[in-house]
Amino acid sequence: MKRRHNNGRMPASHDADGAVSRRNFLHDALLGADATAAVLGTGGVATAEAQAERPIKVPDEFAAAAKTPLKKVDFPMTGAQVFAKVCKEEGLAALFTCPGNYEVIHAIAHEGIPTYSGRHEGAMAHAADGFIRITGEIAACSGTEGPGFTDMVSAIATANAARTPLLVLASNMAMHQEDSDAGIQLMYQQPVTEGMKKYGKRLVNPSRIHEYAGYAFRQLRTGVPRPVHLDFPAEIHRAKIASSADQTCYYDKAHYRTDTKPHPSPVAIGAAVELLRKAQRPIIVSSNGVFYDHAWDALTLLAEKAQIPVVESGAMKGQVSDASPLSANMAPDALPQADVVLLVGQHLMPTVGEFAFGPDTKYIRIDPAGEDIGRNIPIDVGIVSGEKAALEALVEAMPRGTHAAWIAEIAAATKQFEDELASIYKTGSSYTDAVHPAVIAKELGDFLYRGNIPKEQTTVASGGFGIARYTRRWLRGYRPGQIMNGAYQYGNIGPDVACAVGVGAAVQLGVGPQAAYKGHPVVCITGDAGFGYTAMEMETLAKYRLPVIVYNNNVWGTWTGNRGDKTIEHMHMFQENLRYDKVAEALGAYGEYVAKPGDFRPALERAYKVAVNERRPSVINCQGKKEFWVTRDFPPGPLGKVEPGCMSYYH
Amino acid sequence: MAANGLNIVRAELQAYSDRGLFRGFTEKAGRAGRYQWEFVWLMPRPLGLQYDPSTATLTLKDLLPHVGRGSPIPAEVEAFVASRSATGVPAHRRIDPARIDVVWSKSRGNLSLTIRVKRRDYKYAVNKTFNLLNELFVLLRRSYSPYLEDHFGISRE
Repeated sequence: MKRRHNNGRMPASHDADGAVSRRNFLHDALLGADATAAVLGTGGVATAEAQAERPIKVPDEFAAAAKTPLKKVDFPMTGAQVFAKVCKEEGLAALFTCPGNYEVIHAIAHEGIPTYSGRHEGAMAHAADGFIRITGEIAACSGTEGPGFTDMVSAIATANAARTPLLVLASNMAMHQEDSDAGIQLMYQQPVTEGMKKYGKRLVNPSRIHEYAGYAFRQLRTGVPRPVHLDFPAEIHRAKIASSADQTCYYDKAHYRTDTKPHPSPVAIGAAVELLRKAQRPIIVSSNGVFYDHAWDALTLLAEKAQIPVVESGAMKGQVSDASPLSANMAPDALPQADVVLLVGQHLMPTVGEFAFGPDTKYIRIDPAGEDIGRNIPIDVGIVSGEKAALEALVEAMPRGTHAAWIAEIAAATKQFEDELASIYKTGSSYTDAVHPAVIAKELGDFLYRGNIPKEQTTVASGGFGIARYTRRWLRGYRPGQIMNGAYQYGNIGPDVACAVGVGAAVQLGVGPQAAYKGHPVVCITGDAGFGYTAMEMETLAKYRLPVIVYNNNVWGTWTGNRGDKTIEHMHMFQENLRYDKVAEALGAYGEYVAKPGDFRPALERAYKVAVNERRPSVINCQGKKEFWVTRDFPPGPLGKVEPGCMSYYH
Repeated sequence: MAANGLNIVRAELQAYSDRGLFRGFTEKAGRAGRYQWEFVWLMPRPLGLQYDPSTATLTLKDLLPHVGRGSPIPAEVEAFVASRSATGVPAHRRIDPARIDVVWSKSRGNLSLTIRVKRRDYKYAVNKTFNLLNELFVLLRRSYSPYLEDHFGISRE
């Protein structure tokens, strides 16, 4: 029986001098039990029957929202409605929000744009980021003024680092309240996102709402993408707009922006062709820009015509199929041999040495931002162009090629890598008192790609830190946007479950390249950090019936390098054997706890069945141990990475 | 002869530097007629390359520090270099033992790499040295990232 906590006062069982008598101890213990019972109201223990009487329920309003017919919104409108109408016309694909900035988010929902409300604004912003990264469509996040907005800052920084075209919306202090400390939640929000956005504006003139909506979408849909941040003071979102005459520049997107993109110079294409034609071992690096410009077909055509292997980098993967003999994603040993590298859409440029290519490699770079070409890595040919236009021009200009010896070298390097993976798995599966990350990585790969599910089907939100160094090696992309590369560039480990909300929503809706896989379950990989930061979004996944299987590697990764120093070691440790699966169950999801390696695959199969049959998310909580990261005692320990390719997440 | 070797080595290194491969590229005269270059390339930690005309060698002293007893790294990098000399390895990967010898040496727990130039083939020697270095660090990044984090300033993240 627990003693009642006394907040520093001497317990009743102690006499004035602090001594405890057995009689008083028992008396106090009983009191404590009664007090606990009073709090619970159940006579001492929450009974299974009591819990069964109050099962977790998704309110009927969720289903009702989907069936409620939309009313046409027209003038007179509020400022929020004017903005929402532009969002609808621009094809804003989804909104991820928490309650707040009410007029704007309600107006967007009333336009029929799919809307998801979660537990934390930052998590919802990560969800929007994840959604965009695997669809290429624009999504928005929203938070209330002050704390709701600042809750999103880490996610905005993450999206900025990954070059995601994220639309950030926030209400903001009313203009009449500026500099007065009146009310609450007052701050200037635009300066906070300085350096982590492409464009931002605190709207101040109700007659220019439509105009600034156009500004926002021009920035989101052109050039190298990054977040756009708009703030809506009360005078804006509540403004009464009687007719279009009250709006400046009130014309549609056909007139306020263009969908045309820069096209390559024939001279530059000629120079690139010359270099590629003479190359013995050319390779194409395909990155973000190929995805956002929908250039994957042109990429494949070029690769196949000229017989040039392709390796990927970036925030999303699958633009070249890993089933193709031209995929070099699993051939790290071959990369140093490339003599000419064609970088396409590499919006995040590595510095010298961060990619595996050798000292004599020549570089061709295709990018829409001329001011970025030549940065970090010296180039031999620069092509300022949209990725698709440049690749199509190269397809046209390149002669048919053959690089049989080089492609054989790629295949040999791929085989070597796969043999290495097999060896790592063999070592990892020999540890039987906990679940080694190699077991999870390999058996997840077997389940997704070599089992009963078509290998192209499952979209994966690839998160985690230490576990990701394993799972990335086994994950494969067979079609565009199949893998969302979670920690890309910013190294933000926490958002994984939150990103899964966006990835799950994108597949549920069948948006963009996910259309062919609409409704299928999605897998999210995370670790303790990821789960700890955004686990509450399991409730969001459950209430929106997003069938996401969250695999959690229950062991903390930073302890290894800091063990031995007893003063600081605790900062890198959690309690052991935590039951994240129980957390998931308490939030309406399905949970599995796996403590032995042989139990992982069956748990995965059960969770998948739940996803398919019940449309419920799951957490498979795999019990690892922190000692797995100590190479000397439990080889292979933490794994490294080589970029570009399947292991990459820096660039 | 020695001056010719120096000119070639210097020119090849300068060409890499002019291309933007190196940061902080400097040359200084060493002791006993040797020449020393220092530069930052693959790792945040600077690399030092020494040329000894009297022995026709290029040396990267203490290239891999702290690989004392029990470390698997010495055996692995030796095996890696040996594998690159085998017949049947494609010419662009192969270290031709008729043109250079690649030798590891260990002192006080640190591994040094020495390239012995044969037939005065300095251009080949410099080219092979730098391509070999790149491949070695790709190997270390893939399989020994904690070692690089501890001794070369690579991020743990």
